[in-house]
Amino acid sequence: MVDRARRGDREAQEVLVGRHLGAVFDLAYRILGDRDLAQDAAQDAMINAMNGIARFRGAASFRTWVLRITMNAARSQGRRRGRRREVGLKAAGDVAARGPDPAETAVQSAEAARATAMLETLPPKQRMAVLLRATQGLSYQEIGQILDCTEGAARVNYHLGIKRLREKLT
Amino acid sequence: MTSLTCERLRDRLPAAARGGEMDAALREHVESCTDCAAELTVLRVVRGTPATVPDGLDTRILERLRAGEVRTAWSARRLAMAAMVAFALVTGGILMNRGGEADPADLAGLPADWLGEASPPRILSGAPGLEALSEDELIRLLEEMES
Repeated sequence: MVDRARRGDREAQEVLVGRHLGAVFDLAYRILGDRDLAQDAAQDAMINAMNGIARFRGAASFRTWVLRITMNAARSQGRRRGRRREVGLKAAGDVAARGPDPAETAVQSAEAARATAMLETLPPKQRMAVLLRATQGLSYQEIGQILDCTEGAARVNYHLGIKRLREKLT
Repeated sequence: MTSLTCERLRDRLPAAARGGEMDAALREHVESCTDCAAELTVLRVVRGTPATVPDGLDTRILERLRAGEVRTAWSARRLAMAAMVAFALVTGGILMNRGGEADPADLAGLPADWLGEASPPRILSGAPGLEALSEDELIRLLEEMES
């Protein structure tokens, strides 16, 4: 599918957008903490990914590659709006409250609010490492590719983040 | 306490936190290992509820794609070729085509190895026992790795 998209197959590009949009929007939202900004960032990320797909060589998975582009697009979006927030992780309940099912508002638990506050206390790389592993299930190698650090540094950042969050949860 | 079982099963915790099925071995381990149970709890709390994609966002992206905002490798090369020919006609000079593909700002920071170049060394790959290090030791290790 990626090869087809690289050759300019529009149908393949549309399939890739559909396949990855959920993860892209979720990450953009968690970085920006604002659904409108996240929508703009997700759009930019997808268009940029398709514009740059000819340069994708497959050293990382397409998913990792597009998440890296998303992280950069979200940061650009935040800077443009003067509201930059490094991995804010808005409370999960906020998503549900504005989602299609208002009943899901109940999902906004005290734990979710605590998660927001806890994550914001971590340095950016630790926050991103924990976030990418918890929400996307990425490997340390993939996290390193996104954060532009070694696999080992991604691992250490993750474990530091987990250690600190554990202390705050107990 | 970190054990060989922890090492073996820990990589499966993110999937479990995301709602993946836990087999008997993982379930039993988490019930008896406070470290892994705590990590699973943190992962579940952080994950929370995934953001729902707003209605119509996919359509808007596809409309932008269909409107031609995307330059494929072929169209980018063709555009570059046309520009080169036009320039050569005007100046009569020789122009070396350096690719001509658009370079979106958000791609500018991509690691070199993603563009087909040599991969940087990956240290500590699969190193065991990281979980057993104290916070201070982890911080020192990270500082050494980033220096």
